[in-house]
Amino acid sequence: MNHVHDIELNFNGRAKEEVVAVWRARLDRLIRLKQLLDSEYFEFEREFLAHISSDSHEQRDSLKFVVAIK
Amino acid sequence: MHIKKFIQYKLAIFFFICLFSLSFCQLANSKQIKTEKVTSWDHGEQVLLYCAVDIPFRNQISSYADAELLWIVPEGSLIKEGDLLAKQDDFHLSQKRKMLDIRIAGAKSKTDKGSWIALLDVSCFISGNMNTEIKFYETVRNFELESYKSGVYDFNFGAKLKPLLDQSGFNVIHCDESRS
Repeated sequence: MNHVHDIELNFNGRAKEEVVAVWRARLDRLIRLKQLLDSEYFEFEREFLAHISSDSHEQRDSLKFVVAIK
Repeated sequence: MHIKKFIQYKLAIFFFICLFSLSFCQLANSKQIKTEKVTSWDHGEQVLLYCAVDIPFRNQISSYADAELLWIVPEGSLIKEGDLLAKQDDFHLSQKRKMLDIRIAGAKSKTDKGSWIALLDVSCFISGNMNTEIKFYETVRNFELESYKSGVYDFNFGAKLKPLLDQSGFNVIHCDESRS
């Protein structure tokens, strides 16, 4: 179970319009992943943005939260 | 003697005319500044500006930056499977790790027994927001897991938090479970 909620990185359901815009900009900066997927990057980007814009999107553990005591 | 005085007289008139002409030209070419009394502001135009503000760690979520090559195998070298061919400068990533080590060590030494520390970082956040059914999922997931090797950024740095705290002598009481 992941307890951390973040509207960009760890959220449930459809992303807000401005969040989709931020993700689009972020995907554009991922040069190494672009190089890896090469000509398929556009398809990946389209599918990614479609998924975070859909109600079926579910929060997974994109953020790791750790608490420790001395 | 009269001729000399006559020449001096003419030269004096000539210099006077030149000086006057120069001053006149400068005055004619200079821009004039007009001033008006400032009136008080009243009902000016207002425009709302929307902007996105990121907290620091999100600014680093990019693989745009390149690390410099520290070493590369010389051209023409004979190599075999498993040989190291090149090494990149891991300054940025190692710096982040060192800073976190220092902070944890500082927290350990300066706090009393029973004090707590909480850490938060990203953990495969690209694949974590993908549809697991699409064909790119495994490729992207592996890209994130292997990203630390670039020395530039670790897309799975969050997974290193628990081991870091364990090694420093803290007792981890909560850690988000790993994705299945």
